Amino acid sequence: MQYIINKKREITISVLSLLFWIINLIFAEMSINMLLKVLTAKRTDWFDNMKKVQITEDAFLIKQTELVMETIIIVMFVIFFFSSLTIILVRNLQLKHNLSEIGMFRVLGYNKNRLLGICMIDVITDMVIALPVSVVLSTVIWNKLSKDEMLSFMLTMINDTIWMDILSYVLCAITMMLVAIIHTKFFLERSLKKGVRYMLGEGVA
Amino acid sequence: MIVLKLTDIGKNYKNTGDVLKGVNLELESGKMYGIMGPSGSGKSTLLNIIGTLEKASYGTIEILGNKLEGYGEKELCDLRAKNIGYIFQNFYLNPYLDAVENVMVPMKINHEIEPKERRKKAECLLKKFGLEERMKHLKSQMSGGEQQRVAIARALANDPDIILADEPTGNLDEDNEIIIFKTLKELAESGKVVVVVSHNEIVKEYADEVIEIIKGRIKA
Ligand SMILES: Nc1ncnc2c1ncn2[C@@H]1O[C@H](COP(=O)(O)OP(=O)(O)O)[C@@H](O)[C@H]1O
Ligand SMILES: [Mg+2]
Repeated sequence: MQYIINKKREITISVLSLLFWIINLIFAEMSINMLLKVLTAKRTDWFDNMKKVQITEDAFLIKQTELVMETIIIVMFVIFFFSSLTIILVRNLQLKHNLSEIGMFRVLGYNKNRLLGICMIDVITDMVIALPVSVVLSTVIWNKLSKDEMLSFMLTMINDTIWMDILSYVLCAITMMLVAIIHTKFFLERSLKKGVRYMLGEGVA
Repeated sequence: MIVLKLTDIGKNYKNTGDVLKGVNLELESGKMYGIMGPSGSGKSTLLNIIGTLEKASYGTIEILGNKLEGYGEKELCDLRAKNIGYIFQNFYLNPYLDAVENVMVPMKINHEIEPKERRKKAECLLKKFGLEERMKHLKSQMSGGEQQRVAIARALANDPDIILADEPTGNLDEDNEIIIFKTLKELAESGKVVVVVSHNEIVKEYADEVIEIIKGRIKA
């Protein structure tokens, strides 16, 4: 909360959390993208192509490929959740840093909604800035995987893959925003109570 | 003028039982009150109830003619922001903000002070307490006495009618103690209600009235 007054610190913290958001969103986008691709594999030829590569080998290899794919997806999801947690924690760490500070804001007459509002604005501002940057970055990274896809991304703007990317991106962005907001709300309310108690000389429960 | 009126205030906690019982008080502007009593007698609890940080279990409080019954979180915060200045034993300055910024924190939510005026007003308050050399200093770069004076300046930021201090000199040496008590006395003389909780007998020299609490009751 300290950055509500100090502009320089505010900028530093915003840049830092922006970086976290970007990393986070790239991971999230990639993992959701993968999941969507697997889920829709039956309808696209993507999975078939995968299989065709392996069809010359025996059935065991096909099974193994699927297994590897599943593992990758699970790992990506774990990363996604951990990175979302990281960003939320980093965001809130500034608040958590010193519970008595939050308590003091309360004592000075900052009501819960006011404190909450500042946090929400923060989270949402980060989102809005991080959105376009991470769309571009994550799409580029995703498409780096194959030169053909990269080309098609450059040449055709209206392309199923891109819409899929955008859809998955929006989905994960919304999810993360919700998680962040819910977390901020609960975290802040808890630390407000703890903070005031701390100020009143009872220490932190 | 009676600024604060407490009628039959009591407080009990589940695990500690009655902490305050049947407290009646009328506090007038322009006076400094000292609250004394043994440790654990309920001094801080009383101060926190006056300061709307804690709710009484029963009884009524009137602040500046307003009964606090039915006040929600928002109304209580607004009341605190405008009318109550708090000073703690541990100062509680924000470690990331310099002295001026710390004093500006309460002004941030006061629409009566123009944003442009805030810094000037904060500097003015700090100067009043002899801190012109400490404006840009962080908490870690100031002595205890200086920190407490910044905290007093912060308590005065929105020009409240009520100043509450809970053992404000508990962490200070004698010289600073006298400076703080003198400052609080001056605030009372300027027309505010000042309530100071203190262990120290020295409070008797400065307070217009001493309220003694023993086991949650005011000694007559
Ligand atoms: N949140 C609480 N829960 C339970 N008991 C409490 C709480 N706060 C204070 N008390 C009890 O109330 C009594 C009075 O506390 P306090 O007002 O802090 O005393 P003083 O400031 O006079 O030393 C103590 O016995 C303390 O243990
Ligand atoms: Mg106490």
